[in-house]
Amino acid sequence: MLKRRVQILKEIAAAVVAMDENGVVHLAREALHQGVKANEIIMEGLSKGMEVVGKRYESGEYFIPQMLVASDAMYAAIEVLKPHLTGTAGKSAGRIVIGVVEGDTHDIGKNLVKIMLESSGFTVHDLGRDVPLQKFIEEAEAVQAQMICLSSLMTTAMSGMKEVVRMLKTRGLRHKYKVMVGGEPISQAFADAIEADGYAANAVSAVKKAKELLSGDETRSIMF
Amino acid sequence: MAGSLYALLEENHLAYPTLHNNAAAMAEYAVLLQQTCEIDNYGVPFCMTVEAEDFGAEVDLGSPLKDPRVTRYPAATLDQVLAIHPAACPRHRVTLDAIARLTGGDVPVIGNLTGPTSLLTSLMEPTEVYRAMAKDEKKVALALTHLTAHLIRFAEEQVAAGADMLVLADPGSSGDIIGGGHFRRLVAPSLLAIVEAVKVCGKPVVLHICGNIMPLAPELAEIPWDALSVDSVVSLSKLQVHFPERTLMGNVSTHLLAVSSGDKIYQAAGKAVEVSAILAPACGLSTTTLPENIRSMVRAARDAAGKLPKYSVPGVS
Repeated sequence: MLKRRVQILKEIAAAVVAMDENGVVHLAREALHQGVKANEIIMEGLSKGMEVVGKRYESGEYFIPQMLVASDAMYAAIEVLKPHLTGTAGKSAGRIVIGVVEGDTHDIGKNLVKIMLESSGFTVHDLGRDVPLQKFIEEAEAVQAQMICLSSLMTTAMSGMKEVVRMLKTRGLRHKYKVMVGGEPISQAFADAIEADGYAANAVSAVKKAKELLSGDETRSIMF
Repeated sequence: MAGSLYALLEENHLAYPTLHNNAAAMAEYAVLLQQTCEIDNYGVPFCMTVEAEDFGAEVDLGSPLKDPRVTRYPAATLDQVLAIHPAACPRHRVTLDAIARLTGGDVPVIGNLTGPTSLLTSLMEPTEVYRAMAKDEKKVALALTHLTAHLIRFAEEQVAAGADMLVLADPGSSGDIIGGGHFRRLVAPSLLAIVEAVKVCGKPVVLHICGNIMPLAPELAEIPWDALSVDSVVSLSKLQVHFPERTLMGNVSTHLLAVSSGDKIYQAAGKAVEVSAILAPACGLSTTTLPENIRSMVRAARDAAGKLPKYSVPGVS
């Protein structure tokens, strides 16, 4: 039984990497049928697969089209597994509010960050694009987030990131939220200048930075 | 493509958004931009949404601080994109009329085209376009061909109206986003078709693609652009190795131009112009860019002019 469990989890991870949605769904059902817990299928199968996908993205083998299709396979399997998640599942690795800053409608990067954060156990509240600055804070307060992630591809919108940090300070809320920034024109130097807590160059490093910034805040368990 | 600059609009009390939807105002602003910033050309239009509007996209023309952008896509699927018959929107004609008003003088007029992939991601959800590249490449190819036909017509019209050269900008096709394989199979053929069409008209064409284009060098080498305009992340000297006899353009950081000031910009521009034969911003300017910052960049180009071999763009006097 142990060998079959390990084997099927490996096959699930491999199917995610292969972007085989039908295969992943089929294997997820098979794993459930064999008695593997849904929580474990997600964490040890799907999430592990997405980690490999992330590595291939970092190495330049996979790009956005492949990331999207691989994540489709992951999400399709999660839909199958959701009804079988046990009561111990519920805590997430952290609650994050994410969006593209007001004035900018480019959201591919933000969408990828969301996918990778969710696949790693974070609960992500996605505000979409061209998000009014105060909305980030309102949503963070409403969902009791731990982190606000600000994305922008455009130089014009970058000042909005600085403004969000300033608004948090003005309202006495700065200490409540980690702020992470990212996007094509963003840099560590910019993040430091606006006193953000972190900067991530891509979706994979965003996960690493989020884990680093929120370590100790929540027990890693399951998302969704 | 140069967008509108808030400072210029404010200082000259120009109404907004008439520079985007009125030919006389568009031409007037192009002249103002050229004279105030001391650049070497007029350029219209000031956004990348005209072609999208031709295909039925709803466009918000924004404000002096916010560039025009698509607010409602005309399609949800590639099949729906394929079913759209584009028609020249009012701003399409405004652009051609503005070119006609500007042409004929001593200052070259640069027309601008949005590239096929960037246009496609303005007509339907970009995530769906990129997803389709991995799942249904053939259909993406059909859609790009459909859009390319319209873009070629717009290019020909701009040349007929008097444009001395065209800039074809396709940031949505960045290799950072889609990778070399999809670029080679899908994007390069569409860009090649447009560039060749412009050259048949006897005019030079600049190709601009954002992001790290080094992995795309082999495909880019096959396209007969007259100048390749690149982002600030690209090392011009490393790129030149791939194109030893060809012209590079760029690549002063638009963030630097927006937030920095004279000396730093002058230095950065001075570095860029050691390799780049046509000094330019790395990408679209922020609306908050000050004209004096562009003048710093221009000054760097002029001061370096004596050190560069004499160069002229074919077809441009």
